[in-house]
Amino acid sequence: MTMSMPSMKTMPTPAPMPGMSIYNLSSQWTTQDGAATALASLRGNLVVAAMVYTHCKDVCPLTTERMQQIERALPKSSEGRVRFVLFSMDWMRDLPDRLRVFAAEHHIDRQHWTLFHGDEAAVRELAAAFGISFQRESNGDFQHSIAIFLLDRDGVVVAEEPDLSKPPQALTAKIRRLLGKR
Amino acid sequence: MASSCLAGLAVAASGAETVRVPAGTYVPFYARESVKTARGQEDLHRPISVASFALDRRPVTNREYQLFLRAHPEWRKSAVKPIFADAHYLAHWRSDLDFGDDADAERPVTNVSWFAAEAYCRAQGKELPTTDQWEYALADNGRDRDALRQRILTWYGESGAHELPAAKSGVANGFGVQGLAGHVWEWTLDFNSLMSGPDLRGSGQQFCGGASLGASDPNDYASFMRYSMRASLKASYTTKLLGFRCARNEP
Amino acid sequence: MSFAARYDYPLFRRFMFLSLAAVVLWCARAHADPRDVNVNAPIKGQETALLTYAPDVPPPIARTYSTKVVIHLEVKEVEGRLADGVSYTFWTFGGKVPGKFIRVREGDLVEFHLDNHPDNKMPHNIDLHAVIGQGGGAASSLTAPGHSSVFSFKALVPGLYVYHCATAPVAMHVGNGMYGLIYVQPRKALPKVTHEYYVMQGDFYTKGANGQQGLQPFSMEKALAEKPEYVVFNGSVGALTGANALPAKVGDTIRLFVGNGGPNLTSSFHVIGEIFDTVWPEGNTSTPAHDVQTTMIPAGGAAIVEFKINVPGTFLIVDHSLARAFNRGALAQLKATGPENKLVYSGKISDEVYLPEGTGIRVTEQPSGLPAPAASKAERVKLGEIVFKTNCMACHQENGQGIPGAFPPLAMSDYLNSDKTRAIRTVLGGRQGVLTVNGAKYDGVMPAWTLTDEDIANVLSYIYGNWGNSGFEVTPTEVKAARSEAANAK
Repeated sequence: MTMSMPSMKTMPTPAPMPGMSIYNLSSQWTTQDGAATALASLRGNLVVAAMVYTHCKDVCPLTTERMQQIERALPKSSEGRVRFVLFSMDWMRDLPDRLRVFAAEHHIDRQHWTLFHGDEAAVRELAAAFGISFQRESNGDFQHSIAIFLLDRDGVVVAEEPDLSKPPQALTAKIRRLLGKR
Repeated sequence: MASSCLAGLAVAASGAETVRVPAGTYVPFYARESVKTARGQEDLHRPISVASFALDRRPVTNREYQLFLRAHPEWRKSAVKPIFADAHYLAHWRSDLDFGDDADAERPVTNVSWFAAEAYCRAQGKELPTTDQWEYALADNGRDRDALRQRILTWYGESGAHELPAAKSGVANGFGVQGLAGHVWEWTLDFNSLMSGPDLRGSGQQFCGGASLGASDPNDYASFMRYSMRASLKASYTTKLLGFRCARNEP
Repeated sequence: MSFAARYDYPLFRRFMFLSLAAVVLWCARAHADPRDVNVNAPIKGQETALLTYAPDVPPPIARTYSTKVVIHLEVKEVEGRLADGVSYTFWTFGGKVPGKFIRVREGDLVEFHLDNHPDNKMPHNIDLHAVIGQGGGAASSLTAPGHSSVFSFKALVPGLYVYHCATAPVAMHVGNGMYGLIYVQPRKALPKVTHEYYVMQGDFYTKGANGQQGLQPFSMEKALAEKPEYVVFNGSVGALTGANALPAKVGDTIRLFVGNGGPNLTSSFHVIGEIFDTVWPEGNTSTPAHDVQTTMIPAGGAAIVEFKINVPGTFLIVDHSLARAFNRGALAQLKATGPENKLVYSGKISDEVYLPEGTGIRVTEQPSGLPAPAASKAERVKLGEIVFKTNCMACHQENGQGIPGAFPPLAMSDYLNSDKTRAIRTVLGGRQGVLTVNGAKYDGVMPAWTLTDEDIANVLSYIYGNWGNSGFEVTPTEVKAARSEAANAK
């Protein structure tokens, strides 16, 4: 993990990365298609993101569903301008193959969604940046907190919804407002 | 100049003196998972195993951290990104590389965030100790348990306005580790894995796992405070009395 | 005639139904859940709360609408005095124990900022008993040193409430002084009084025994055993005594906002020498009690007590679990100045040797606090009555009628009315031997009375002013003259 080597460059970008951007993290992730990438590759679009794991039978399927509700509630004109991202916290089991299976099971639109696998250090660092707590149990499952995050085009968290008991109307409304501001 | 710089880097690379903490078991303050006893009650006293590991004998000092900053300018006060450290980062340093006078050199470095502490440890080829590793080292196989608790409670009662003691002061415990009690709070790798306890932010909404479990010893005020402190932190936070030390897992 | 025939039944039924409905609706409106009313109270404008240190209370809120109140409360860990020569590291809301007094109004929207000073060592949060919501705010406010937490709540229910830190271990945070009071003023404010003061009790558990000098750490063992070394008002022994006593004047009405932070003990709250005209028990503001001597304030509870000052003096405020008051510090003072009222309270009038049998010589000692001299004849007569009832009544009876054959009457007494000076000398020097009063003979012993000039003047004025006597006034100067005359004659 090369968190602090000054020689590693992030992708060339027109404007400097804001100090509070999640994309300042230099950890490497792998998509469900096996492509190795840095977080900064998400720059340029609004991002709706959450940390889950595929073997979760509790809140993670609900999280995915809520994100899909947001996706459905957005106007057609938003296509291509909002990316939906799931980061797996299960570095042992949620390898890219497994992520593809999960995406199929949940009818996830691969055009607009990216699922990421990261190693233990990457997961820990991202959870720390998001403020998500997690703990791996002896059977491989996780206890964790949950929230859906909205990142602006530069990767700064601009909204966070930890209450998944109802449809995420506030988040959807905020996305619409941000899209309108282009 | 260059040679002393390199020598400094060599010291930084090798890190502080470490001690080998042998494998063993301890009862964590908050049970990790829900396990029922034969009578159907929560077993809050299940010991867990900790593999042997190397732990820094004492907290990282200002001088050591300064050496790290010479080699890693992105972690200096003027350059660090706010997502990695809040506005109090190295607040007690006069400038990017100036920690103060000679006495400060040997004091534990504080006002550092989890990201910064972890970056430092990685630069030494180490990592922050896990909460289990740290607590196991503190528990010291139960040696002088009551005296240790009292020392911690006394430290809680001392105002934070006093100068920090030198990192290498303090009697070594049975494992040979110094300053786990009475110096500074210390970061752990998984400080944000706290799943139990009354002080979780956001009222402790946890999912996909066991219920919120009680403390193994409700009379242990000293430990309650330590876990409450961890629960109050976010990874970018820095505080005047929060420092760290590093650990290395054995392969 | 049948009922149905007598009334136009359908119309009557409709009328009764509508009346009943109207009554039910009216009752529902009148008893609308006050919480709902306050949830929906519209918010006008914004202000920053004025917070005060004990024993001061922010002034009563005059506005008649709900507003947004912004509160900044800073947690500071400070070393300070617990008792003479005894210091302690207090954890405080605002820099002192108890924490600052917060005053808002029913229906207000409070934006609460809890600021944990960067020099602090510990994480802290806050639970305000006025908050309806998870942990009373504690769940949203766990704050590391150098950081702030913000949350908001609506003050739905009026009353006086405790607030305190609720970070585990709670007994230690509270035991170190992390408590204060928040008053949600009711829409219909309590009546105006002369002074409002803030008093808060707490128990402290130090490693050293009560009085052991130096910086004392917290003792977990004593806290668990609920055996404090100190029980104090407003954070230290003597915080409200001597020069720090609460000031008042005769005629003032006093309202005390009293809290008990605990962490463990319940308080038996009493003001020695006073009776609470009104107690709002448990800090509620809808159902007062009246005429209360001692009121119980549980740990984590509060009470509002009101009383009027009728006489001057130093009134001791105590936890009536007396060992706490006199050995552990649960004692405060309210010093009232102003004119005496001997009728309400005379002070010590006399000390008597108690002789279970016989009369003999009665020697009275001077009362310890000499009363203020009478300002008028009427006052003299009034004061004289007390002296009479204490000293003379036993023999001369309540209406001065005396006892035939034993003690001469004072009513319509020719002996008294014909010679004022002789009367004075009789009281001063006593009298023995045969005496004729109103035509009857008496042969007894009247003891000499060691009373002040003032008292003798007063009692004689009283006697002369009653029971058909001449109405003379006797002055202390006259008594003094008679006294020295008698002395010279010896």
